Amino acid sequence: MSTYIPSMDAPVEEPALYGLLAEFHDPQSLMNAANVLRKAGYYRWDCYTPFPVHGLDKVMGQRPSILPVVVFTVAALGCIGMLALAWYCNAFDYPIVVSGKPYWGLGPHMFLAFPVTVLASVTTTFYATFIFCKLPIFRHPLFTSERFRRATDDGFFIAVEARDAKFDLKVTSELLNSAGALAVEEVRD
Amino acid sequence: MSVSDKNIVLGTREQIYMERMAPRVMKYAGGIGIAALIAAALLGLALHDSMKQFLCSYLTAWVFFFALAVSALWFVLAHHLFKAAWSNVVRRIGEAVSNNFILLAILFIPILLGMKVIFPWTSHAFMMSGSELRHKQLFLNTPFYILRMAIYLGVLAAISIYYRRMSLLQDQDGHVSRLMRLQKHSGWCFLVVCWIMNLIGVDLVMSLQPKWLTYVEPLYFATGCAVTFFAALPVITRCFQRQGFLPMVNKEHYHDMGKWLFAFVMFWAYIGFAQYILIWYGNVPKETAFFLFRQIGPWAAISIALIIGHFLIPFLGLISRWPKRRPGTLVFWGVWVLVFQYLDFFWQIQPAVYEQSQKVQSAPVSGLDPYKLLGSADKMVWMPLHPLSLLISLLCVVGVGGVFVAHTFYLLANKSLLPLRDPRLPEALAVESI
Amino acid sequence: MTTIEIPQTRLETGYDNTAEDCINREPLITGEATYHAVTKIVCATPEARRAPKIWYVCFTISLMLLCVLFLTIAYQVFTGVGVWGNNSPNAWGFDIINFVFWVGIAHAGTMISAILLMFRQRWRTGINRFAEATTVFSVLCAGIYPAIHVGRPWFAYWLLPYPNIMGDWPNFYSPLLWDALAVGTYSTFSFLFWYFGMVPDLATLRDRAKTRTRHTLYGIFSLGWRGSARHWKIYDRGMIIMGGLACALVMAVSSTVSTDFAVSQLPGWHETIFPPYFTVGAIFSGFATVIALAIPARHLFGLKDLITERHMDNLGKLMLVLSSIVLYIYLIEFFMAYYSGNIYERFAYYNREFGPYWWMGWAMMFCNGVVPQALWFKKARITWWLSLPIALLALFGMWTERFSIIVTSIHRDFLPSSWHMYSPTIIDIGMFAGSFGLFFTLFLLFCRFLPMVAMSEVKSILPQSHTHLPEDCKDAQ
Repeated sequence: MSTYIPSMDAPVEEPALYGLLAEFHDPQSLMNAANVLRKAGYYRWDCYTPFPVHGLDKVMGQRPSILPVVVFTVAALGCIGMLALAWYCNAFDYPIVVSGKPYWGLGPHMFLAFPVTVLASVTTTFYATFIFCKLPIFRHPLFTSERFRRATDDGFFIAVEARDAKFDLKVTSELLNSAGALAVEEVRD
Repeated sequence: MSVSDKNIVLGTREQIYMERMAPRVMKYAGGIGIAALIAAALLGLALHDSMKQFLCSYLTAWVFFFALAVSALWFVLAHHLFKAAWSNVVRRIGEAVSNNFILLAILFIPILLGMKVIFPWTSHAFMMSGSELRHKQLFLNTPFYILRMAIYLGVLAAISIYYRRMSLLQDQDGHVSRLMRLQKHSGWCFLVVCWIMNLIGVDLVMSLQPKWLTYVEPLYFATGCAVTFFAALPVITRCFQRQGFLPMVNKEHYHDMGKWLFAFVMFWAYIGFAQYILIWYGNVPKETAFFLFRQIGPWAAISIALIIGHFLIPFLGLISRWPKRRPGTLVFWGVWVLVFQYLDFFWQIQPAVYEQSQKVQSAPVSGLDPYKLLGSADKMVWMPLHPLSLLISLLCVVGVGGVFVAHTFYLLANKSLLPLRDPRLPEALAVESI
Repeated sequence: MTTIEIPQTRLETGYDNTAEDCINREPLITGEATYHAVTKIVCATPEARRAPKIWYVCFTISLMLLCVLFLTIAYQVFTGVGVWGNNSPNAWGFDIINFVFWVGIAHAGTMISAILLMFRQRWRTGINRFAEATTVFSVLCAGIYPAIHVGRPWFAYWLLPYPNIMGDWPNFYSPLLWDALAVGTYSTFSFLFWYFGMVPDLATLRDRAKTRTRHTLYGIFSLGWRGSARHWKIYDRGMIIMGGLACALVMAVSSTVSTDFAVSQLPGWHETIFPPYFTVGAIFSGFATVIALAIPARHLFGLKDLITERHMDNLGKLMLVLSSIVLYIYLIEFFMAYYSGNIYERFAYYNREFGPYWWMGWAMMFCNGVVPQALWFKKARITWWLSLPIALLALFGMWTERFSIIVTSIHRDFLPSSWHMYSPTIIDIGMFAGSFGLFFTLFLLFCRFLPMVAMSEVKSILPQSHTHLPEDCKDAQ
């Protein structure tokens, strides 16, 4: 059995620099390094970890996600929409009497509105999460790094993108090294 | 045992021990309480309804504070059962509030004295008036009722006293084995308390309308009880903090209290909805007796107020993360839910007491116009909403509440507000909510 | 000013992660608890060239049962629902019993993933993936029954409100329509939730892939996940929202199923306690399933360090709690039937325990209410040959519970002249056995090719994952 190593087609010319990839030993040293980077004023950079590291978002200075607001809005629309549909069908367009009940009752129609609300919120959560993450994406410069394959196993990485205004190959790599990186490498697209 | 050299500073003695404040509160709360009870009784006498309204208001107030105590006990037992950490910072509040069962048993005496006025099953003639009622006599009779109440309150008192005493003893000698013993017994104690919370609902609420049948009312009552303490907890904690106690309770702990409050408000709505919708759909007379009353006239307004105020508004108010993490907001919602939980008990108990004078027991809830059925009936069912009746109800809450608060502060006085030598206190202080 | 201080204490104890003293016990994950070790243990099965022998045996049996399912369904569809044992007054029989049974089993995954998530129960990370898989597959099994019960499944779209030539609409007061909505939502939800949680782990498998096929397949399904912290933040938020929704949904689905019965006026069906009753019973049977599947799986696939004795201990405790609630409901039903003073209510419950199906009634009492009480003892919770029979008995008990509720209530009509017994035909039984084939075929495929334990979540609860914020960023935002 031959070992398969995924690779891009052979480049014709020197590919553009994506940025610098630094590996760290554990979540705490990653967090300390992230703190250094944020204070140094970098903007286009990211941490890569095999699991969500608690508090890292605070260190990186991330804003809260608007996901809950989006989900709540869609959920409310779903709820109202289903109730309106039930009203239109059974009370307005073709009124039918069922066991002497009023045409339209909020109580029993909760059994309709509730699952539809949940269905709307769940699908919204699912799609919105990945859309906000700009996923799916099957080609990314970081995937060319052999070292980076451990980001989903036991590696802790920081990648600083070359398009960051403060990016400078030498200065940034020194900064990463002094922040405790085990290794720093260039990533090319 | 390896002891790390770093100790955790909790605060000054004044922040942990309630020395000066407790006697003052006891004096005022107790005084106001007794005065209010006397005033309520006098007003009740003035109504010339053989104390019916007073007893009915008094029962509502008693049930409300019973709910507070029993849910505090539930909280303490749940803490041990789940081996929870965060609740250590407020456990002493739960222990003190739950130790009121002996007081509540004494306060129940007036209800026993007036049983004949508010519980229709105490009348033999009434119980012989229908074949279904006749079959209930084995359960609904005065001696058995008194025996049941004595057992319920006795068992609750014994469990609550044991849990508080062991916890306080651990403060003195620091034996972890005491905590282990509390954890070990928490399983069956929790089960017993849950059973009592359910069954006592049959005696306190369902038996006011002996013809009414529903399978879930005990659970509905127990859920209503459970809401009470989780609504009161942030309020009590915040009040203590404003007086300078418990500085270590932070927003993470409030967040946890808020989550519990939210969960129980939701669960209350779920059980209430289950009960209503199935009765609405089934339209069986022996079940609809309960709701028929409560969807006409002013009671309908209260029913709708309950749906909106006990479910919809707190649901929207508490669903986000930030209101649960801001003590001020959470206190607002705590008070809000407490008010509506009182209204829920009010709505369950007070119309029921007057219901026997009506002839609508066998009418369906939906489909027919209840106004027609009630056309010539007397308006006694709206009696509890008369301003004077409302005043009596208010005085009863202040009265029972005052005595209750005084006794709680008597228990809190000079005891540490934190389980100081609980091995999980450091974990509780460092807890972080998601 | 005197201050009160408390020492931070830690006791040195031996190796036992099930100790009751939670201050001084071993960590949850036993063995070599490094990140890479977790990855290795979980990926071992999907990456192995061959599964254990027993896997092939089970898979063959499951496939054969699956064939039975397809054959019976085909026969039923071509012949008509008359091939079932249903009669009058037993209009509902195996079809709805098994539907409720499978829907019930589907509740454990949501319960473990969602409610335990809200309670910050970190031990759930070892078993949540696993439990969610049982959810996804058992909802699928449940969904078969209503689909074929309509008799002409090719007209199932009539349930949808679409403008049609007759100008009419579905009756939105019908609990059967609520059912379709609830179960449809639940299956969509459970699948999305399961897959959502699996994306980071699929990325792990992608990054470890040794062949092009595996790399491509896992690559497509992991959506290009690369563990970015900015993604994790949104993803975590999404996970919590889904968890919160699941808490509500787990209550709603079985409650809706219960309305199939409870909105009628039949004694034994029309009870206001039915919604919580069905929900609790459902979660109870779900936990029994998770225990029954986790015991062989942790032995077979070498997961003992991730699904430890403490997990089994906790699962056992939860099952005990649920069994106690189920017992509460059984007893309160009897009490209320007595308290009603109504002869029909009383007869329904008398008949349940002393009528022609008395053994079903007692089996449900015994298997659900009495036997699980053995779980009060720790030995019964952590010894597999004790907890496995208890879980299997509970599953059987939950099936008899549904039989008791449905058939025992309906076979004694108000008019004694309509009384009729119910017995399933061979097609009924074949269909039920076949649904197990469907469940196990899917479940065994899941065990073989997908990460059975949520690696990223287990890693996040390892002790070395605990970080503290740098001093100078406390106020940063």
